[in-house]
Amino acid sequence: MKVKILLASVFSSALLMTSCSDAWLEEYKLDQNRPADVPMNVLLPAAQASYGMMQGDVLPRLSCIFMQQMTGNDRQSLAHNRYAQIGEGDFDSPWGLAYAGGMYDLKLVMDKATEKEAYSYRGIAKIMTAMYLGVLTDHFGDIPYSAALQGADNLRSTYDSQESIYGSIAVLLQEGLADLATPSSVSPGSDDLIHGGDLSAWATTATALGARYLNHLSKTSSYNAANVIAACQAALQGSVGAGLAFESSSNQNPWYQFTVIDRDGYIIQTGTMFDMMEASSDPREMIYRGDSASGYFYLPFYGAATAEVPIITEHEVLYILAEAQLASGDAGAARASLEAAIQSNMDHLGVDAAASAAYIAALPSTTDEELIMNEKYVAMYTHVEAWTDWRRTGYPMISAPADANLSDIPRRMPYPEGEYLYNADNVPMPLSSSPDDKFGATSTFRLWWDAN
Amino acid sequence: MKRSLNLLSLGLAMCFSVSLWAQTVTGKVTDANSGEALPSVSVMVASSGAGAITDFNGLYTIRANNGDVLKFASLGYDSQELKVSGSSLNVALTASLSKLDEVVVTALGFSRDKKSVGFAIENVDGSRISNSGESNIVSGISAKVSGVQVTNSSGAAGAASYIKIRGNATFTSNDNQPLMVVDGVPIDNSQIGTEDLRAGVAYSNRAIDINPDDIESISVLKGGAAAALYGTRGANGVILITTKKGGYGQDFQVSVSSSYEVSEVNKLPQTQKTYSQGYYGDYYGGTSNPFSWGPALSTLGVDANGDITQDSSAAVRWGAPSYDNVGDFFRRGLRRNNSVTVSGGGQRSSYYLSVSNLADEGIIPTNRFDRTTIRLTGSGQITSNLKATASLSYSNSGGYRVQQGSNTSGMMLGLLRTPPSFDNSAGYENADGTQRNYRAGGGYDNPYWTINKNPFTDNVNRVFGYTQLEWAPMDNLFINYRYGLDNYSDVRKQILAKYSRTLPQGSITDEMYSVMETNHDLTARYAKDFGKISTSVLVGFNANQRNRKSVTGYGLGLVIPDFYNMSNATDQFAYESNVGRRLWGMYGEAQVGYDDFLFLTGTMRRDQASTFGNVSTPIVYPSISLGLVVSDMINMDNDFLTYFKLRASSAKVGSEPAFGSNATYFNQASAGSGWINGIGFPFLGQTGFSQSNTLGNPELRPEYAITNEVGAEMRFLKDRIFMDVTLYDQRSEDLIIAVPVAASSGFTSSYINAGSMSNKGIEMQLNGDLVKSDDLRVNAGMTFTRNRNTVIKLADGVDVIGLPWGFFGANQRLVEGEAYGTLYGDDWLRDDAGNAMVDEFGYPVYSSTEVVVGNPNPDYLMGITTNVDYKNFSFNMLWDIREGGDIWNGTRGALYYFGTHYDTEMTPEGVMRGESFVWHDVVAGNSGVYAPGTTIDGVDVSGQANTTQIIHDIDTYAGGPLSGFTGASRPFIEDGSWVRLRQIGMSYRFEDKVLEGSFLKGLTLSVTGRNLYLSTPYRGVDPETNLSGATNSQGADYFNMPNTRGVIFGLKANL
Repeated sequence: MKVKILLASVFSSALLMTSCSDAWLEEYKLDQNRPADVPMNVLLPAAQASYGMMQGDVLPRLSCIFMQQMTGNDRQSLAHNRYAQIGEGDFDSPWGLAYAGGMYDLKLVMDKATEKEAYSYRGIAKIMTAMYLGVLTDHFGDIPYSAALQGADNLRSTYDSQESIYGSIAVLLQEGLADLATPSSVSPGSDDLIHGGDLSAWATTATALGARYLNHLSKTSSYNAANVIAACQAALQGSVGAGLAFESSSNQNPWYQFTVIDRDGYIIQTGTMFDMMEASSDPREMIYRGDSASGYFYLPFYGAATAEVPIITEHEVLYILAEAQLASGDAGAARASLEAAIQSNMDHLGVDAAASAAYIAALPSTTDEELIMNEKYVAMYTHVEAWTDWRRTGYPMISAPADANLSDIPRRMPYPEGEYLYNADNVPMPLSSSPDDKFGATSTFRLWWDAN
Repeated sequence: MKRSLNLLSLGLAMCFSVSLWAQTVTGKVTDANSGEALPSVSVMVASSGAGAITDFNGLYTIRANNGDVLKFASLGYDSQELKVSGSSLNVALTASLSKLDEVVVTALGFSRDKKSVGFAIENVDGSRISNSGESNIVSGISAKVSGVQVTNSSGAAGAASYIKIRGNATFTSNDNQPLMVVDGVPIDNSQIGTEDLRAGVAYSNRAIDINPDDIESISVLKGGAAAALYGTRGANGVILITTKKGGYGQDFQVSVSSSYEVSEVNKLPQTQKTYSQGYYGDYYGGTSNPFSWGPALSTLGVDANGDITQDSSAAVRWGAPSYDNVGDFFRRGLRRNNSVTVSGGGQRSSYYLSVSNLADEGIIPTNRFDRTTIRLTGSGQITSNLKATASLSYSNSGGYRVQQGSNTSGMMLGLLRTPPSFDNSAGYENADGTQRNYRAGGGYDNPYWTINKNPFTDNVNRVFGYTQLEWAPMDNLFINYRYGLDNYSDVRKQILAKYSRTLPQGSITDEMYSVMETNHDLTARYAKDFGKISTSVLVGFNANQRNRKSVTGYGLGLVIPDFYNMSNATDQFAYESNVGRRLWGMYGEAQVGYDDFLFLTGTMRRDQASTFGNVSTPIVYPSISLGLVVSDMINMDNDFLTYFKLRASSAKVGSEPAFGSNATYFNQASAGSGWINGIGFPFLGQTGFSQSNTLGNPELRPEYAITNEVGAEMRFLKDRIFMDVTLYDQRSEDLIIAVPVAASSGFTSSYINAGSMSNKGIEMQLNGDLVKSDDLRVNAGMTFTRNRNTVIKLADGVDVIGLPWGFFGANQRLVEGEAYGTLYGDDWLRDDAGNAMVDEFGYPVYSSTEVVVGNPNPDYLMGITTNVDYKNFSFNMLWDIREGGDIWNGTRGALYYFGTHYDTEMTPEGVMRGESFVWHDVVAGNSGVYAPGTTIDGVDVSGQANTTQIIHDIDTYAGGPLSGFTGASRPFIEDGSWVRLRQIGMSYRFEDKVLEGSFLKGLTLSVTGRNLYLSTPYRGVDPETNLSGATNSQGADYFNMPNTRGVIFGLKANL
């Protein structure tokens, strides 16, 4: 009897404890170090920082070497001069910063903004997604988008054609502009690291980006110079200029981190572009690379600790305008736009007025595509646009070094290793492709807008 | 927690209404021959398993009923079973020929007759741990238990020791070390790193907070069946530590133990003392030139200032001095350990109090580790059937630690790279505060700079203990409630002075950890015999909570010299981390015995854990074990084989997912590339968060380890020889992996249950009295351990998982078909026959593809003991043998580059610097073959044996592929086998009659040699070393701290 009472009491108290245990365990279920959900105003700056690193770190170091605006001087960078030691694994970083970093976060911002009717956040998120897609597609061609960013629901995303990615960019920019114009329940402020919550600046940026991506179609049948001119003129109504700034003692500009802190001596600021600048006594040379005593290891302007990674600039839009005006047959307007572009760039760099005036005065009198594109090439130093422009127009006229690993200068980047390892069925190019194919040195694997 | 406490008291209160039974039995156990009191005798109620141990005076107290059978057992004595009648029972035990009827402590602290146990379990007497002279109890277990591998990470004072039972049971989501339990209460044994574990300092594993003198015995639960009742936390085995306690009726007793150890470095890499700083025939003393490929010191001169010069016009005499930087650097280590124990008891109460102090001044100047412990255990009868016990240990430990490893402030790194032409000891600081080192302030820290200017100090204050109520409300029923607590704070400060090479602007790291673990355990046990059948049933409940919080302040850029407060830093950062987990378990055990020769035990445990996506998910796993004493069953009357027992068990043990894997969280945002650090938030004054790149998985299931085990225990020649063999086969399934996924999904990895791994092995113990007479006893014993680990499967599409703390060219990995932590590295290009390819210049051709280069898991381990007792003299010896276990000697690889290794003066084959030789491949044992397409003098020599001479000088090493920095890591993978005399000791116990009349009741003096002899093919420091300390990544040596050997003088006295 006593046994039964005892056992009953022990078991009943145990059962009571068991029934409470779920709630007790539940209190500790979540990681207290990391939130399970966060608001838009911490996702947006994270997505912007990732964008800055994607646009400003691995990719432009390669394309600037391809474009002979810089020269590899040590270790892997030395091999990059010959297009060697560039592997699929090198692109996991920018690809991850985009898809697993900023683009996923922007997708969350869009979802939250829709729910909260915070249309200004949604508009910025759409414009930034277009920025990501633009950089990625101009490097890789076909990329995942419509089936991407779905997490556990789809771990193996299919790829969209570059043509449809360009369509998505246009849609995202248009929708972004529409959202910016819609009354918003809440709007970003200092959490917007690019424009500090200035929605009209975002609208200008979106319009300018629209001009850039329309202009990229110059080799395709859908190119329409009038549309490009209209977009440029619309953008220039505002004050064009977007970039991501950096800090001085840590979190510095990626060029600064590479050339000063982590990889001192890997690259050097020499090459065809600097030869051209020396030939034309370009006043920007000192600003770009300092004097010879520095060894040309550093970038005093674009690689200063706090220097911006430029997203889009007024001079870029003016160059686009000049190119489109020339294409539409208006050489006079093109000349004016070109000179305005040079002036704008030199002002941006802090060249004194006399020097810039002298430089413009010394320009060849004939305004042709080569002149515009060669000038733009110098102005777009450190930016991937120089490579895109070369692929579109063939200017400046440069060729691969004699000892290169490829038959020609690369016209695309190989897909990342992570895609080949874990999403191989969907990658549009076989892993076994020849190096020439991977880098688009053969016409077969050129990007859609570069196809002919 | 409060809620469950209330419930517990409710349950207990309900039980109190039942009337009280049983009584306290006390008595004294003596030696039948001498009549002397016998301490440490196990006393056990046969029916219930309730146990007690006699005190120093042979006294015991136990709760038992009239008619119960008490079993008395002690090492070296024949057991006796006596029936209880009345409250007093005195026993005289007869010395036996071998240690036989052992009582072992099994899961949850229950004593069981070893005979009835169906799984492998091994006991180590506490005195064997304390006599080892090791301050870390984990090190004290070395070579004493089969199936157990212990690795001391280095000889630095306070350095961690790693322990592993039967190989690795899980991949990376949990620790592979066993659970540590003190008196039934799990305690934390983690190694917390402030820095990357390849650098930083040698941290402690927290079992170091236990005073070895407090240990009564250690019981090692090796397999699944033994540890099944510990649930998810026992998956890697359990180390059960039982502490000393007082006894009821025991006289007041004071014991004093004191030891002094003098130690020195036992093994160092050999360096050359002949060639100066510089290269290509030129001396570059005190410049940024890193090399010791300069001219011979004998060819250099000394100028009027006493400086070395190559300029003959400046030299006043020829023959530059050679400084023995390495030999001069280390000091004699001194370790003092003192402890005092007071114990005793009243009629219905007992107490134990100990105080100890350890002061360990390491062999590295300034390195020290100190520990003070206080332990108090008291128990008493509240009523005749309700006993309360409380035990509390306090320890304060910490030290001054030195930067090590792959770290430009690492002590060994700067020391071994210094050329013999530079005297490190002639000052480490220039007048302007900058550093004086052989590279003109660049390169690496002068070792004297780093030990003096870059202190790492830690201060741990820890309290652990328990309160326990034991209640026997009625005949054969025992109820036990225990609340266990382990709580410590670890306050650390790491300083890197301005002009230190790691961080020339200087930094301060202030860290504060708070670690807390609590356990509530309630068990009820009912035991009853029915004729020849004995039964017992146990049910239990466990609620476990673990928290670890840390706050770190980091100050960068120091302005005021030698002022180390955060206010002195130009940039200040703060970090915080909180990890918390809870576990709720129910368990049961049923035992059935038949006629004292057949024993069947079944257990079942059900756990719920907070780390699952659904906390209601139960993990349920059973075990069953069988013990059959064949010799009793068939009444075998055989003088040769006197005892023969077979045992078999099968168990399944589950583990919950790692903390933080059950959901997809948001991380503080950062964006980097591997080329540069990139951006970390806060950035531009903003807080940033980003969805984690790893997909959490709320559907994760537990990992399971299934162990099947068979064993036999045999005693021969009237029990003079004892042998125990265990074979086991453990398979881990559903191991959790963060599998990589394509980034286009928005994530880069995803947690899933996928992997499986196998451990198979054999464990053996052999022990015998070779001589046994009244005055002389010679005993010899052996333990043997062999484990084979194989990673069977990772996950679909995953070929490799890298373990942390690897280097390119030498890293530990999980790869299907290979053993856990297999070393991967780069090798020479090889033909199908395995011959290295050689180029036209006679150099092997480098291949950057990483391949298997070694296995850090040993082939087998062996411990051999000898004990000789002659009258009052006692002699003991412990040999420790390890066969196999590869180590990457990254130190040698680096020193080839710098030209300071002795091999750069003369190779093991006798080639002197500057001489020509044909390269030799250590792997294939030949000189390699010429690579396809190689032509020499216009002749195609492809595939032919290499005969091209190369020169033993800088162009072959720093300038060629034969150093660790410039070529393959394969030549630097070495065999870490050893034969070592881990312990040799002699002690003398004074006769009682000599002490008669003095205040002493007992006095023993001892001298013990620790690690005095080491034989190993390994060419660096002691191969018992590991760069990352007590981690899953073993077998790496990159400027590791050396190990030590020492002589310990000891005294133990009873007052």
